[in-house]
Amino acid sequence: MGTKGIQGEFEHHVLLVAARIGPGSYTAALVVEIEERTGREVSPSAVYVALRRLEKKGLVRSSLRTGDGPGPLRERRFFEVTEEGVRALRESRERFLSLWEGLEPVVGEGTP
Amino acid sequence: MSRPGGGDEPGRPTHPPRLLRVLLRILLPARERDHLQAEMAELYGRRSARHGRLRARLWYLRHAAGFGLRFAPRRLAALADGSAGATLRDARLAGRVLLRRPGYALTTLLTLGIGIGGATVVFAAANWALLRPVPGVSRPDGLLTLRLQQGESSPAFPVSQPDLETFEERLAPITDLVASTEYEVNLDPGAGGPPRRVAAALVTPDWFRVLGISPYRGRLLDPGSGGPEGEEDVAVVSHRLWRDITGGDEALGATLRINGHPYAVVGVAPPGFHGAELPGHTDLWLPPAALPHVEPGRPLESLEQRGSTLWRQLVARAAPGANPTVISAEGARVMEEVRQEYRRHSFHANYTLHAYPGVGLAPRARNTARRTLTVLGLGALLLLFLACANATNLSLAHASARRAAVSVHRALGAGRSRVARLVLMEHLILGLGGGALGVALTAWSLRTFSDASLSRFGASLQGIELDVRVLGFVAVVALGVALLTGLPPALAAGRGGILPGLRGQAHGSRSAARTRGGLVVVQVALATVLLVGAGLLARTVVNLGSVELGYEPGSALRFSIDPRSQGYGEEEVRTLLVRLEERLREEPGVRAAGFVSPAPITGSYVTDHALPPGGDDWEDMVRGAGYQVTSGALEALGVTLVEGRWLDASETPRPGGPPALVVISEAGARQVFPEIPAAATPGRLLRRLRGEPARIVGVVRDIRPRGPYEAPVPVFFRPWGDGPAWADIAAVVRTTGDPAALGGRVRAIVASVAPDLPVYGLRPMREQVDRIIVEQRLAARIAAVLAMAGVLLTGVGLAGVLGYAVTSRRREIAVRTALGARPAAVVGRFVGYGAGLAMAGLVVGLAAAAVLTRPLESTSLGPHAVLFGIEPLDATTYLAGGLVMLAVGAAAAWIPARRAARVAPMEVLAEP
Repeated sequence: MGTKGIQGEFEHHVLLVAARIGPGSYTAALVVEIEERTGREVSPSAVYVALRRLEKKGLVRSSLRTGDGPGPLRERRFFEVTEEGVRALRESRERFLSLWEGLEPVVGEGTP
Repeated sequence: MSRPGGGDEPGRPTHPPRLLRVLLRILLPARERDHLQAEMAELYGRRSARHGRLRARLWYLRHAAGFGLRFAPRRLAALADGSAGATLRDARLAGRVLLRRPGYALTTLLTLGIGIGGATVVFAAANWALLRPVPGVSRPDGLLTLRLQQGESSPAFPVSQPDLETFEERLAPITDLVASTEYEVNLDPGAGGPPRRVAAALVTPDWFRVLGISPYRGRLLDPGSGGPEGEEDVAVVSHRLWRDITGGDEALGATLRINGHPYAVVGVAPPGFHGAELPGHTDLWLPPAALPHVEPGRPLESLEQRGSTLWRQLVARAAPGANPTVISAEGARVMEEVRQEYRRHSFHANYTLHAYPGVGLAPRARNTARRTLTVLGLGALLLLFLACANATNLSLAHASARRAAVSVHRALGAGRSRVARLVLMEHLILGLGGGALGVALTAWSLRTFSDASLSRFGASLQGIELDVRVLGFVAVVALGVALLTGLPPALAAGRGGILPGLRGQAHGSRSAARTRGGLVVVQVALATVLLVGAGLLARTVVNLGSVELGYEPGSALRFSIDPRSQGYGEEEVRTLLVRLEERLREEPGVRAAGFVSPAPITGSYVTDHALPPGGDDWEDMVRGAGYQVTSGALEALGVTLVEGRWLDASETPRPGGPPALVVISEAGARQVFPEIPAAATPGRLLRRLRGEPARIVGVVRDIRPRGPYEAPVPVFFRPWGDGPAWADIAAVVRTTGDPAALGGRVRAIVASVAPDLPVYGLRPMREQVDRIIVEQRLAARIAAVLAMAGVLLTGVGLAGVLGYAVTSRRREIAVRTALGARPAAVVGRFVGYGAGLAMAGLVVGLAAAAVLTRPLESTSLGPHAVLFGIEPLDATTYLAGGLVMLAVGAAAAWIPARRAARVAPMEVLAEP
């Protein structure tokens, strides 16, 4: 319960992107999204393991289904953010915003 | 948000290559396999479209490995149950089977242990001798050993200081060049103990820095001060010498007297470091300023002379990636430049600079070690094959005994592959056990063989350790052996019907019996080869020992002293020797004593010349060995006087006086005066190199001054002082009893007459002679061990096969006996069978030995040939080998044959 459920920046990213994509999230999709958004290469195994950890903490739930992706193999494990997960994200955002408050003169406006 | 994976790729979808897909499958846990594979394929497709196939594949490989690493703990846990669980069960089952047949298990274990141990000994020796690093040297892969040689196996030629500097300047690929050269010096540690003889090295000032050595205590020689001469009067000692002198106490700044000159100890080298070459003996390092002290009579100014040679061992640090061949070529170029520019240099035209990677075992020693190890390796390989053949045989016999259990398994549903796996598992356990035993045997035998006095090669094995590489070797060999010996029985186990086994019938197929017989033949052949080899080497040693040397090494003690380096003048030396000779002769137990220079047998070879009075040409000049002796020396050496008398040390010639006196050997007499018998030459005059006359006063029997390998050469003995003064002075003391017992008294006598002089090289003369043939003795010893092991294993194998034959044909024997066959006939059949196998193996073995020992004729072991006084195809040796094998065969057949004779027909036939 609470932000202490999310460990570290990476898990944060994964949970955020899972929330963004919605119920159709699966590992590969998250990998693509994170890479496009952060501009950095991301390890699929790291993402997968992070998702399973989040699942163990109750912040996401997963199900193995035949999806509608391309290719001969259509089975995917789809992940969906739970209410717990949403709450955790909300709380973490509060904390971040409170920590960031008033730091503009030091850090400057947003970076391109 | 755009849906990934959809509509980005036009046309053809790209899939990861099959190999990579399979790899990923293996690495993924079962439940997640399918979807993760699919997702990785999808990501691969995207990447391939964006970045090309190669990058996509690399990406796939990287991240497949990532999955593998993340799931490894889980997979290993799963392995514990699942298929690996079956393997563990197999192992337990196999273990139980082996425990029920301890005889078979132990015999096989021992057999494999001996075979694997033999191979491991050679590998460990090779690993240690050829590959071990020099302790204390940092970043050894940037270092190169340079030598000025005519060829890779010839001795190194020294280089002068100016030439060294030129090399360093102009050899582009190297960044630093340092050099050392070795001396033996008298060391007086003052309060630290009695005077001793140590190996010292003169080194260029930045020698330690380039090798990357850090001091254990104090500091090392300072490269900064003093220019090319370095510092004055300072020395660095080895850790071993420091412990010896100070007992580990902080005694830096202690003064040592080196050849009588005081030096301050400024530092201690790290433990185990004795120079850049292995095996190292250096205990003292001195800067070049010490040159006049270590080489008396050589001025320090000679360092500046381009023609004055000094440095023998060169070490270079090279730019990374430097190639020794390139450096050798560069070296040749620079040498040619120096020849042209300076016209006076320290190297001859036919010497080139050879570069060898790394430091450590000297290049020539590397070659010797390699040759020795190759010969030994072949012997060990034969033994290994022998052991494997034995083990396979034992296993096949055992398999037949195992048949009942196997049949039960198969009746209960185990497939052929399961049965085969069980058999392989048994062999795996035996193989690994044999490997462990082999390691133990290796450790034990290496300790026995690495005695430095055993040989130069033995010296290079000192302190040998069994490191990771050796253990890896053992593991590989053990696994290989397990597979090799296990596959035939494993494949055979599944064969045949189930019922015969359940009924208790023995496995009596003819092909199995033929295989076992064939394996015995192979074993006998291999053992025969080992026997012949050992026989040839043993006879070599005997031949060497029986060569008439011309002097008597038995009951004589020898030692050396070096008063000249200590600063003694010629008159002082003479007085010293006369006094020592007197004191030694007075000693109870001493029959004769005297001094010889240079030292006989292993000392330098000084050439003396003689001409008959009429002869004038250089062509008529007789060349031989020359020695200066004191009065008692010839008698102490035990040379045999044929005619005439001994020399007296007081008979040194004076200028303007009567001719010098000389005692010559028969060979000398024959060559100088070919027309008259040698015994008639005393009284005659011969002429020396510059025409001076010398009168022969005595003739001695032929001498081989340097050991059994050389033919007798002319030897000329002159009275002490008649000739150049060499540093090499040896004393010979002939004793009535055991020479070794007089060692302490001898030291005491020298200490009382000359307390500043160390006594070194003190040993019985017999040992000195033995050292010449030390490589041959070691090789003969090892070959004998291998041969005995081989014969033992073969005997066991033969006995096993015959024993099994008896067991499996008990009914047949019973029937025959019941029908009236005499026991002798029954025994005869089995002995005949065994003899047949042995004969077949013998024939093959002798033929193989004839082929394999051929190269021994031209191979060398150490500095001399492997064989001496015997040809590879020596009839006696082969005959002896054959007889031994037949005897072994007969002995091996004896017990099973007697068992056959004692079969009680009624009991056996009454069995179900």
